[in-house]
Amino acid sequence: MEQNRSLSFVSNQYARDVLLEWWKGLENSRGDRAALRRCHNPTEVAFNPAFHRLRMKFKHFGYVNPESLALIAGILSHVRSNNEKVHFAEQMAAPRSGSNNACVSGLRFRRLLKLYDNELFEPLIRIVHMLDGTVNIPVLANSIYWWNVNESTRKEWAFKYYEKAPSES
Amino acid sequence: MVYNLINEKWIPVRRANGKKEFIAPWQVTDDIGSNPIVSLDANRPDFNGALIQFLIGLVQTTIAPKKDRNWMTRFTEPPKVDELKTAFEIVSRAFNVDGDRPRFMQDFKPDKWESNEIDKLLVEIPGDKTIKDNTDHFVKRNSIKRMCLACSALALFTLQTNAPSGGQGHRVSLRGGGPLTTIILGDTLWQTIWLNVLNESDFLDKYGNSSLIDDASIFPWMGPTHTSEKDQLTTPEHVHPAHMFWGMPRRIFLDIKSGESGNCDLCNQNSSNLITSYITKNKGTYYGSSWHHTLTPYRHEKSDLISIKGQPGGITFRHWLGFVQNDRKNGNEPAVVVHTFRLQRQPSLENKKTLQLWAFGYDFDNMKVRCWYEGKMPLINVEDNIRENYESAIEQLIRVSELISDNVRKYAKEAMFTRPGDVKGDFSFIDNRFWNNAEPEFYTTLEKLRVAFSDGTDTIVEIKLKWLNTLFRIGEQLFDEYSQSNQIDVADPKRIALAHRNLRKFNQKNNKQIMKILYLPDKPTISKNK
Ligand SMILES: [Zn+2]
Repeated sequence: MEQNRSLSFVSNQYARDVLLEWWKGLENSRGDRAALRRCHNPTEVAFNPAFHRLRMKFKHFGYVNPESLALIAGILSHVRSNNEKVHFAEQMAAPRSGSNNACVSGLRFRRLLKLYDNELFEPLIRIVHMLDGTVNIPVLANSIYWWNVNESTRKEWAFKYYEKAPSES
Repeated sequence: MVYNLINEKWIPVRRANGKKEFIAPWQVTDDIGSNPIVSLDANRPDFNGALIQFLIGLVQTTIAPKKDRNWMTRFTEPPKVDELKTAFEIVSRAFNVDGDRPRFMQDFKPDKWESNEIDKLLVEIPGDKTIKDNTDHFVKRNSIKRMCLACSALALFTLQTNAPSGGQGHRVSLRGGGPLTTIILGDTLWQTIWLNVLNESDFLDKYGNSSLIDDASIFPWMGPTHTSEKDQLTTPEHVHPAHMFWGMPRRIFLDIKSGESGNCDLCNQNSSNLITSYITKNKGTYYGSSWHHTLTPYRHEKSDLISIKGQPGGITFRHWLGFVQNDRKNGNEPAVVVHTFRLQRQPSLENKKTLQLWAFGYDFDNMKVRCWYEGKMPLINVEDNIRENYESAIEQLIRVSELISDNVRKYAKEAMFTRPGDVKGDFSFIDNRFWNNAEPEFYTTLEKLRVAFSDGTDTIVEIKLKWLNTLFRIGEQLFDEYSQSNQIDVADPKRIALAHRNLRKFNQKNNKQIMKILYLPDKPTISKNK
């Protein structure tokens, strides 16, 4: 069990590449992607063949929490492009074009921080849409995977978000 | 039989082999070759602080070294017990606790004065007002009813030496209320005493009127009290220099007639002469502020010398400036004996080893004692040729710690409260944690600095930056802890995040204030370490 503590989609190059490769692969199997997008919860995701492929790829990592991985897979199926230049929380805080307000409002952001990981599925999909499908995939995946384990994910999100959008209430 | 503090075995000590016993003052060098007495061992820390001053005062008064050479001889070859006995016996008439007047630390002409229960001699026992207001939470009332003669004498000496303001003309100690004391610690009790004794000529020249050699000029209880009905001052000009160790601001007389037998409530020893009360009167000796005690650090304020007092927050390396080396910015200077040791004595000690400085004192909140504080810091031997640079680098390290500590407190508060400016209360606990957490690394850094200066290597900037990183790290940890940012979903995430942003903004290597304090080059050459 110990080795999976080191699983990181950000700092572990191999894990990151495997995940991104799988996500890009969805482009070529539109049927799978459509099926994933229709899922209402991680359990439905878990019965999707594309998810099964992802799981197999992570077999080398020892134990990988399947519920978290399903959550990631379901949410990533809505992502259209990967932008690793800025943190996911900064993407939420960035102003919408033609406006001074953050893409994801402070109110919504704070509600998000109060959720448990099993409640993240729909809210995060909605946020991916609000960001026009462009997100930092490794950071998003990592945050989801480690959401409940310690508070550092939420803390990092809050620090990044308000760094970018200090006046967002 | 009169109870005499020179002849009686009343001083609790511990030997090298761990054995505890009671000795007479002249026995401090007993068996020093094979099983020396290494420390005092009273059951209260403030009594240890008083006892060491009693012994230093006694030695300074009776057998101070004539010159440096004599000091060194006695340091390496301590006087024999007989020699000390002879020397101390000359003043033993001033050390009777009971019997005919004059009595140790008690008024020369007591009268029909107000009577107090004996426990009021202890500084932590609340006065009547406190009891009435029921605010004596941390002291048990009525737990000390009877005290033996040794404990009474020691409590009396402790009170006279530290006396806080007692209200209504009850005067403060010769160094003010609750002075801070710093003592250089040696390997044996004798060394500890001797390290804190000045050469006779230095002592007699500077600290009082050495032409006044009658008993009462040294031991004020040996003559009529210099009272202060009209706030008349007693200054060093009026008495002998050794008076500083025997100051007696309070007019007190132990009520021996009330004596009973049984066990002392403080030390639990059996005694046939337990004291239950004393009498006292206000308007005793008013010392004013012209004194310079050799065991206390002082602050220069214009032309005045203000003694440093015990302070909330305890004693850590934040007090290095002012306790060990001069604090030029605030005009604080270490105790005279510390200066003497570092500049004159330490360089000629064999193997020039590092000794500890023991600092202690009460923290008085006006008349009430809040706490007893003590701490230790090393006295590192420094070569003359690097001293100036070394000490100025140390000063920089401490100044930058002060700055960062202030910021951590400020922004942690900002994270905790919506309107931090309106929040009253003492947040110094954050500072205390900061200084305590940084302390081990501070001493490691000092040693690295010393080596770097000695070897003339080019790593000073690197050492400073590493210290800065340590401070940032500790600050970040404390911020997290106090801002509860580990429960960011329940706390206000925005407030915490913004306070954190401000803290980060401040805690930067390229912050102008920080760069200025540390004399960092504009573009830090080592910026790789994150
Ligand atoms: Zn006793």
